[in-house]
Amino acid sequence: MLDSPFTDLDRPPLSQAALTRALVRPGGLWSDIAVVDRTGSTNADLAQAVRDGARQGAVVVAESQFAGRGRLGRTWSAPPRSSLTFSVLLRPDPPPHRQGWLPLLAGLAAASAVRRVAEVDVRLKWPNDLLVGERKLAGVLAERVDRAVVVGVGLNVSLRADELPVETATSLVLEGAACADRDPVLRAVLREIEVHYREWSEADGDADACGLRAAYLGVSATVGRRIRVELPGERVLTGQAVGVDASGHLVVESGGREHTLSAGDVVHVRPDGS
Amino acid sequence: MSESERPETADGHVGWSDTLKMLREEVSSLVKTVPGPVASVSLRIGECALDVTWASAAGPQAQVAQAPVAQVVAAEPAGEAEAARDAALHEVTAPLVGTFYVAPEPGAGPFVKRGDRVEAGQTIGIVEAMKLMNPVAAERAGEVVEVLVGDGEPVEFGQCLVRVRTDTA
Repeated sequence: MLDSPFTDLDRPPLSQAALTRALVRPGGLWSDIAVVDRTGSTNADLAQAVRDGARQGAVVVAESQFAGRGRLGRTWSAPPRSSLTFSVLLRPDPPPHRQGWLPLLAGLAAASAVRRVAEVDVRLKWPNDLLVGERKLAGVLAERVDRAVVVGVGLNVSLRADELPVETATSLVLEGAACADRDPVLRAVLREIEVHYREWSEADGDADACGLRAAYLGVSATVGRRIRVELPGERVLTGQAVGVDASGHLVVESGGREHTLSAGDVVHVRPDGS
Repeated sequence: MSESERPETADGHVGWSDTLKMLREEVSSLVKTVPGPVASVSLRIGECALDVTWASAAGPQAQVAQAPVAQVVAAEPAGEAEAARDAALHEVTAPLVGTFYVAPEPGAGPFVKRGDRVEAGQTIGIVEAMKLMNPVAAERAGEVVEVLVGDGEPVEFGQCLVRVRTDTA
């Protein structure tokens, strides 16, 4: 029984019933939590659920995801139950031009949860990669489906060095986390998303009024740093990250000019310029 | 309207292409200086005619929002300025500030290209903002006349991305 969830005692399965008891309550954001053994992509599953009329607050968690996708169609995979891979369905009321904050909000929520529960000093590379030092612990990708937004999170929990998808990645276990148990980490992330999402919604998406921009800047690894940004179309911008504007765009000072970026791969440049 | 210099051909006659150019400049100048929506434009070269008709003065500026169909009859293909006023052209615009992608991922074929047929609701591109992928859909069915923004280029809110000639004008 190689496929038994209990063959690797360090990687216990998640319990849909326990998560539902802990997170689904009247008046709360989370309405339905599904734990599936294996799926192509939790984002794709929820996109389909949106088209089928699913309610806000649906969550899909996959024990194993074989076609997980990042930005620009980048794919990755991980051994079963070694990561937290899940997506949430939101139906935001604030106007579309403010919804660019949702991926940042999700990154902030994941970072806050990891800091609190796992006691790992994680920070955010703009827009929402979770970094420990310069190593990537988790990534977030969101997509609009009709008028809903599906936010997917992939967080490396118990991966060993030889299991990392790329050398520049890391996991909670590799970082000596105080807790590398997926159940409490997932609960903490979902609770953090709920709190920030409610505050942001009540402020009609104004990231300053609800304190989201300040909180985001508080865990930013990018703002204040010298960076190189690989922009779409193989262009490169080098400069100083000086802030995040009211829409969540990264503001970079380069060559005496300020550039406002909505997309791009940020590389933090060390002070010595390497 | 000032008398402009007319370059002449070797036999002393004004060349046709120069006449056409002059006529187009006159039309352009008239359309810009006389207020109200233009209903039709026609150019002829044989006897050097130029007809511009303005819509009736019933509702001068208030009706600009629903401009009448501009019937462009010209001696050569209408320029972009005229095309933009064609009410049969549907503009698909950016729903937010971001980065435009013509294809679902790098290396993949574009969602649409010039000459393609699109249905209402069909995705014509993606605008990315902070790793939120926003598919942009055509609101009406028709033929793609022009894709105005290149892959990976930044776009402003409301910027026209693709022009579609709708089936029913």
